[in-house]
Amino acid sequence: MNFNKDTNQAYLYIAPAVILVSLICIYPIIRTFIMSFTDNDGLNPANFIGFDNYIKLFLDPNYIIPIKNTIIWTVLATVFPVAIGFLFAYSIQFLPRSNFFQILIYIPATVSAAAAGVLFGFILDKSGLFNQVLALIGFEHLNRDWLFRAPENTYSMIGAYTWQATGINMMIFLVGLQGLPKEPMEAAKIDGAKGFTLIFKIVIPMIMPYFVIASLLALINSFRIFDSVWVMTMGGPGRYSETLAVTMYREGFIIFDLGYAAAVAVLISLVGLVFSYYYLKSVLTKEDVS
Amino acid sequence: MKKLTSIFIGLMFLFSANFSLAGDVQLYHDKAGWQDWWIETFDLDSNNSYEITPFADTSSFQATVRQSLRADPPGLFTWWAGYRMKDMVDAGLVEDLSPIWDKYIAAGQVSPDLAKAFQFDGKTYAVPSLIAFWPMYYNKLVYAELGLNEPKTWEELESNFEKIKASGRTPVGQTIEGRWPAFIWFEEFLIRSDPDFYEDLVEGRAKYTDPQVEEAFLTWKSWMDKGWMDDGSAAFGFTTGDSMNNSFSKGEVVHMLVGTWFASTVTGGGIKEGDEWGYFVLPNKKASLPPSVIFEAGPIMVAKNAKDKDAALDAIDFWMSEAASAKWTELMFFPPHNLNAALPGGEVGELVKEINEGGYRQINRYWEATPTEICEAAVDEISKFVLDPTSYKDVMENLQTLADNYWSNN
Repeated sequence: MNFNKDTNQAYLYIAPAVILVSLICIYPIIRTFIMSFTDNDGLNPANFIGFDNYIKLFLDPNYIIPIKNTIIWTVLATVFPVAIGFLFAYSIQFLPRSNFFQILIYIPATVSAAAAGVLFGFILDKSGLFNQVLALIGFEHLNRDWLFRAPENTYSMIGAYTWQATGINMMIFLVGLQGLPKEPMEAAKIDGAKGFTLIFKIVIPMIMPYFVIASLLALINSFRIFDSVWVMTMGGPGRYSETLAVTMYREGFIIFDLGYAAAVAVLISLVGLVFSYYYLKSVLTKEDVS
Repeated sequence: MKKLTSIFIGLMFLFSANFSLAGDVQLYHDKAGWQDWWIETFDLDSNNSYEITPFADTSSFQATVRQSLRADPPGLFTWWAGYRMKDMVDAGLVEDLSPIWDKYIAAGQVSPDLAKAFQFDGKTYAVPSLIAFWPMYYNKLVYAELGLNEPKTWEELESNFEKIKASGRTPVGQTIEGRWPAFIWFEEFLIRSDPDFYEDLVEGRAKYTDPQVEEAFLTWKSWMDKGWMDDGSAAFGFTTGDSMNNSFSKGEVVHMLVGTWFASTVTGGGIKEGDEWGYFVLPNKKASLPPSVIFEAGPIMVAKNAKDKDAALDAIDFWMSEAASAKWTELMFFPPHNLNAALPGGEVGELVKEINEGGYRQINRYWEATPTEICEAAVDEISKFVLDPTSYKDVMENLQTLADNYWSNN
């Protein structure tokens, strides 16, 4: 490897970022990975216990519910925000004053997940706005405590999350739609394509890279969902709405079985890493192409 | 270079001066709402100055304290009693405060019974910041309207519930909001039938599959089946309009079983202490049992590795004094830890008097009395029972599995 002045300068430029990422990100990841093989409780000197934490994680029947809930979250909190985000982006193009609607739909994304959780805690309460609206339109028989009963609580929280996450997906799709060449669309229209045929046969295939990016980003975020669940239900009642990230927090910061919590964190990170790999691959490939 | 060195030394001096000015004794606590009362009470201590740090979030507070205990801990910190403090005691990270207790016990100023909540192997590792009892709050306006009296027997209690239910109200509010309150009625039903069994259960000498536990769940289930208790979905305090506390203040819910620390929240709901709400301790289901009440003690501990340990021990000595106890009681309405300090006024004072004079057996709360690993999982299991009272047999089995897992390794 040849080092010249330019190369050294380039290394100097990226050094602060590399040092920061190493300190804030890489070092804790390594520490967490090592901790997952110990019985660290934050008080006593940690002992190496091999794969015990991982064995416990896969054998403990209490983890069936968090794993099931995480899968539900990963699927639904990917499908809905991405699909609705696309529909909004596609529809908004044809509206006058589309900027106003873009801002309106994007605003929830600027609210913190914790604040949104508190807000939806009130809305989904037994005497909250959602039940009042249901009663007003004649569906009073559907009234219930949406955050107290399973599985309604998980679906309600996914609904709240969708409200927040749709805006960012809409923006991704707007960028994709604005960059589409006009000719294929016009050719398809001349050939008689319209409505859903136009969307499914022409538009979606053309912006598929954006779908992949939005979906992978949504997968990564929904698989590690924590804040919304913690604020709204704390994973309860009876652990019925717990996700893996809540399990990790609960084991780490309530029971202080830090070794075990680290094992859950490693599992979540590994799955996130797989999604991230495909996400980055698709982003970088797209950049290469452009 | 000389200039840089001078600036560096100047900054170092400034920082060190800042730290020494901040206070001789550090106190970390997670009761942010009490901050002004801590300051006011410790202001009476002429020997020490204090740096009192509140934490708004309990989890971050716990993580900070635990992580700091081996490195640079605060001299004083609040915590939770019983098994919640045991791992710190076992790890040798907190100071034995027995000499200070012995001094005040010998002077007849504190009760040796109070120390039991903080004792391991005969040594006492904390002093109380909070003493609370767990009586039944009841709405006196509803009682007057329906012509009811405070129940002295289990039968009278259930008869009151029947009349309250017939009037269209909910006799008892319960909540499992935030997980932890699930244990409240579990422990209460157990001690009303067999307090010795309860103490055996929390210490691993009895099983969750024993008939006493089944009886507790069945009584609880029957109360829920009869509509005497709500479904547990209401929030605890003021968070929503139909919270347990708000329903209580409106007379829609007529009883709540909560610690005496909840008194100001109840009054804040808009009904007057004494005239409109009051306390009674639940009568025993088994009439031959002596009176008993659940109690809760919140500890202040001294970190062994603290730089300010000596000053912290001096601060603990001050805390146990009549002056500090009287001030704390005046501000917080908690029962005083120093026997020379006056009892708080109002309903709490009356209750404490009744407990002291009536020779009530004081039983440690489940949250502190049983190992944390069991308790934290048990509240979720008990919540499952509240959600589906027919599931009590599965819940009992699951609770016993939790207990077996813990006691087989400890």
